[in-house]
Amino acid sequence: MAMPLDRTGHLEIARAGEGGWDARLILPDRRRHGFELNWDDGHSAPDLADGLVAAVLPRAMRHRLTALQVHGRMTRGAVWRLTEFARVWNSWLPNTWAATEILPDEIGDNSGSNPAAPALVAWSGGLASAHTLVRLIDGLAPGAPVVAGVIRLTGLRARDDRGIEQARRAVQSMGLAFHVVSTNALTNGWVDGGIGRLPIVAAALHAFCDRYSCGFHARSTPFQAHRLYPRPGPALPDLFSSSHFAVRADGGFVSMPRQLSDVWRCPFLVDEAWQVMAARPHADRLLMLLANRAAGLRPRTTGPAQPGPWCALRLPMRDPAVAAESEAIFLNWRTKRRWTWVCLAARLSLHRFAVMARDHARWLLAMARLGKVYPR
Amino acid sequence: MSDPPIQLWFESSAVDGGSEHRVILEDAPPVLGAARQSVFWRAPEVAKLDLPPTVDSYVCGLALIAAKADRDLVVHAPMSRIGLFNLSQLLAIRHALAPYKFRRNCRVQPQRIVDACRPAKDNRAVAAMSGGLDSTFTVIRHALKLGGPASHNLSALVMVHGFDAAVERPEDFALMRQRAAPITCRAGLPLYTVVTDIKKLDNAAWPESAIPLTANALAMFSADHGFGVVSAGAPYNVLRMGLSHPPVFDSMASNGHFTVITDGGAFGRADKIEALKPFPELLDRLKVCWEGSDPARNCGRCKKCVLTRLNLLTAGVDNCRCFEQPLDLSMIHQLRWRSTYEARDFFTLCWNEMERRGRTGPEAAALRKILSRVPPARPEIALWTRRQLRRLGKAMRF
Repeated sequence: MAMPLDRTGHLEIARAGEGGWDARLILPDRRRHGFELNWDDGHSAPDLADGLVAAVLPRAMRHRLTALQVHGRMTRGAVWRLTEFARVWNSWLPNTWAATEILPDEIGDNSGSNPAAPALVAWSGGLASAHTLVRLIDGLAPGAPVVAGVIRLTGLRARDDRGIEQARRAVQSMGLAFHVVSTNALTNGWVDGGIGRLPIVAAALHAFCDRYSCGFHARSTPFQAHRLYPRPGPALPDLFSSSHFAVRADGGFVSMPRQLSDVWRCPFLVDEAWQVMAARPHADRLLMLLANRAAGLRPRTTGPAQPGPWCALRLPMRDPAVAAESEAIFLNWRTKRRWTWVCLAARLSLHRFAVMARDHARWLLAMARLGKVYPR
Repeated sequence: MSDPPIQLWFESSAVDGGSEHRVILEDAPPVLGAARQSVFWRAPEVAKLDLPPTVDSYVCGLALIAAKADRDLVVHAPMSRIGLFNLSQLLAIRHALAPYKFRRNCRVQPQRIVDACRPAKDNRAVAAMSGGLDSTFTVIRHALKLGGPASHNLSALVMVHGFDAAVERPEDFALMRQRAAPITCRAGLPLYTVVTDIKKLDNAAWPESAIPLTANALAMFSADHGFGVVSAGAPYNVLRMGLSHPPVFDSMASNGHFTVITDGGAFGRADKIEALKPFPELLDRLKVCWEGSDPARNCGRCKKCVLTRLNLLTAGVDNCRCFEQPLDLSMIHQLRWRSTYEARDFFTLCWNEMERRGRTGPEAAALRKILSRVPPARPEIALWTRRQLRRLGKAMRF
């Protein structure tokens, strides 16, 4: 077997001072790519590079680096978890992502996290992260650590910097610290199309590792979606954690109507979720509207208008997350079953039929040796 | 009146020079047997193993059993905060994925919640060893530091008697252990035995509880080891979220005192064999068979054996001596699958890797032929039709 070419990249932390991090990825051909994370409270950046490596790694994997030399200190736990992360995505699509090895200048077995320190929650404004926040602060999650802070990341989605001051006031009124972290990751192309935003969110959480014991984020995909259409992401344990700071996923098992019902007691979070959904793709908006109807909650005055019954027929089921969420909404329908429910039932049946027809066509093609072996 | 929760009590004692941890269940439902009974976890070779300061690892597997029996749990011992949080997530996910099996999102009420934590320097790990391909790969990879700086600091291995070999058949387990001896010898690590009778409890919610219960066995050694390493059965991309134990669920068996790590999920079975190729004496001792009558030998004809034989072929290892007879095409032709899910597993764990390596030959052709014949989700057609009719009926009534 041919040995892979040695393509070692370098990660330099150009600025790790008060209030921010500035990372530079230097490729073997000397090209440089950089991005910044800046936080509003001006605290010193941690001396551990675990979080930055998490953010940089997808890009290093895309550039097919065999190794990433990290000019900084990492914990042993982060080295093996991030190495596993790279191997997982490489095993999923070997031609897209390389299994980049991580070689830090220094591995520090420093003291573990302080379990008595409070936790931090990443809140994007969307329904899933609002539900995580409510679950953790309202005692809906047994054994949850005490949450003392919330971070809001701007620069990861279009128009995600609006309404920050209003959000700050609402969160502070709940007795929590509110931290805003801004980044140029989206504009500089650091959000990987396959892996998503989570590595950048993890880096932002790690930036607060000296004050909090762990950081939570919401799972973006329901587990049922993985069962239908497996992808590495939902099957991964918390691989952005380090020996010093845990980055933990929450949720993925509560349907949208139930999430809405749980969040309903915090009107600000509901309004914010409506606003955020309005700026997101059409499918997300439809799901939110259907979930609202399924939960039997009165329509919000803000946000998009309530749907007509036919909206369910327009759900784009090719997205497995949409298919799984729709199924969950259907199964958790709590109100009187009217035309919207009938349309959703029809859409789900049609989708199931389409999937079955496609599977049978593939099978017949494979039997006739005209296609690849079924099942894939 | 609601069903009373199952009460759990814990005790530790010395037995014949070894250690025993006993969990006493009170108010157990009839499906689990007597209302008051106990299960034991025994380490016959190691004296003075105390119960850990938090009993999360002992509760995790039992909570799945309680969820299956539709009961809550009251734990008369401290649990760690992070362990309780992990466990509540695990139970909620299992209930959401399979409400017909895990009928209750079981509530676990500990006597006390503590903030347990270990120093990060305490990075010694204990690994589970079954003698199969996955665990052999994990043990050799980390014991010989083949993973570079990402290797775990393994310092002991544990084999469980009571899972694959029944607890009342110690002679079977002795043969299994004897077969794995060269592997542990090559790794240069001590191999300890843990005996348990947990499977008497309604088969212990197997296979979903496999890793929590393995973690329980490993946690007996948690005074000296902060990490427990278990091997991943299927790679991350295999369609097994509902059925088996993907690493995301395994990690939820972790707690503040003991962290469970699933290793090898990024490698296919042929990749693991390739990594073990420099150690042919270890490949000769692999024990992969669950179905044969002799637990110390591979029957060579069951699905798992044929799968491993094809994996060996894919990795370029011909006629490995872990099987007594050479691979015969009739063994491939006799393969039958009850459902598409089983065929998909076989496809992902075997055909995919064969295709990726461009492996051809009569075996590959035979496998292709047999996989092509599996009809897609045949049992689901009836289910689907029934569900549609039910939906239509409901819609007509609204």
